Amino acid sequence: MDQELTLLELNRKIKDAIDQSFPLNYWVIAEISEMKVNRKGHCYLELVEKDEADDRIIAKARGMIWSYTFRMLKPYFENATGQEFKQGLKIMVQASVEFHELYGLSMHISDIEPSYTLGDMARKRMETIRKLEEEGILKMNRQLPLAQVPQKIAVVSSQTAAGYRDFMEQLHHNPYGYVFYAKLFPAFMQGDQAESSIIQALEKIYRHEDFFEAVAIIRGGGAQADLSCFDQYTLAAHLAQFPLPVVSGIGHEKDESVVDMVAHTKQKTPTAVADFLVNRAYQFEDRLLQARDRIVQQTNRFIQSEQQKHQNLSGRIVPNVNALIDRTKTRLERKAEKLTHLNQMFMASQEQKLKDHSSRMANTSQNVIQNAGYELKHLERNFPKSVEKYISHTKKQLENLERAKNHLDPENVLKRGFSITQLNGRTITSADQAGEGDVLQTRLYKGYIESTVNRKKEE
Amino acid sequence: MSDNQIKYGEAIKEIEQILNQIEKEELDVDDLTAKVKRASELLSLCRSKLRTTEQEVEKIMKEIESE
Repeated sequence: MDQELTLLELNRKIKDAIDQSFPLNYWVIAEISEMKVNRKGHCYLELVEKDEADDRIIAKARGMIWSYTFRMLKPYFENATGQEFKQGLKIMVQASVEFHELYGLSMHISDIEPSYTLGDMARKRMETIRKLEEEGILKMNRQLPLAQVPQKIAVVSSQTAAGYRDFMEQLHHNPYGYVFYAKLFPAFMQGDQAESSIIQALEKIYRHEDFFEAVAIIRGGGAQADLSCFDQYTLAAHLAQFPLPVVSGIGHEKDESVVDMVAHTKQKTPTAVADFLVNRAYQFEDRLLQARDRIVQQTNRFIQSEQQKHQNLSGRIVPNVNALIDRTKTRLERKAEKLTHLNQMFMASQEQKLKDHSSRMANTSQNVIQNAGYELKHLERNFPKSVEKYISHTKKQLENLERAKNHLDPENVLKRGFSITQLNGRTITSADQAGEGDVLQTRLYKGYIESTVNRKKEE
Repeated sequence: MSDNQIKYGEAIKEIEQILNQIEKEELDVDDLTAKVKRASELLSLCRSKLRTTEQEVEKIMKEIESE
């Protein structure tokens, strides 16, 4: 065996051996570690396999896809997975093993199985969720209290995104005229840079944590965009532990993303996030108005019953006082009579002995009677006065109350020239609630008007 | 509590407390007058804050912008 071979001869032998040993196509599972598409549209890959435990590369091979195959495989794969065909993905491909005398060993890929990649992504997503749960941070953001009316919003989005414009439009032109302060912190919302640029935006917001009341993370449009960044652990962990409540509107069509899961509130689209915020303000104001109406109602009832009570009181008190005075008078007269009588008897029996005392005694008795008479007169004069004073004080307070209540009463808004427009008995606040030809009732301070809609303009 | 410092959460709590007291008929006419006045004040503060742009907040927003 000392026959010498040229390299070409050797490589031909290897090629023959390989062709004989691997005559078929094989389904191969691998991870794309590098990928390049050249000018002609051929795709060159570096495929690897990593050790499950420590991520060490334990196998490596070159792979390629001819341009006419790649033109079909790429969109097929991306439609099926919603995922850009790129490095880092785990794929299952059908390949033949080729050996070229000059270029060496490579795998020629002819087909791909997207469901394998989908399964792998789902598994990774589950792992991320499990990890967040184990760390106890999955529901952390959800437990933050959201302001009654969050008006100061930090927005994470891309300035050029249609979704961002829709969000701002919907928020600032809400039909109730509520004021919102929304500040954009720009970030990439798709692709490889998304995760790190969103985290950077969050760090900026964190510096103004005391100022903002909520974070809105929104992305719109682009049905087939690569949204895998919203399933990434690092981003989800940042959002979950962010000290402000996060409202998400990422616009996923399929399952919710991990970001949606950790967010305080998940909405489907940027517009829905704006609606959520506007609606929260509306619900708060509605609660205010309901409390107002009940206060007005109760106060009216109170005023009426107090007025009734005072009428009854003044009606009853005067005759009662008069009767009291009469009774006291009679009692006093009787006492005076009795006293005079006793006095006479006493004086008669002891006339002799007490002659010098008798005049003084009579004086004292008369003084007692006189003083009682004065007191009675005082009572007669002053008691009705203090009752009157009490009644007039209360009356005055009731008037104050009526005034305070009137501030709250919608009647007074009508009096100033505002009106309430109703359709089928329901109050409407926006032109889009009525159609042409509808009959509207307008409630004015005095009376109602019925009118038909000829033309309308929506804002 | 001045206009821009009012907190919605605290305001609604106070208003509903006042309503509760009124509905329980715990108040005499003097107290009631004061409470209704207070509720009226809080209500108009809240409603104006919902709809009025605050210069102070706008200023802070601009400062954040220029960082």
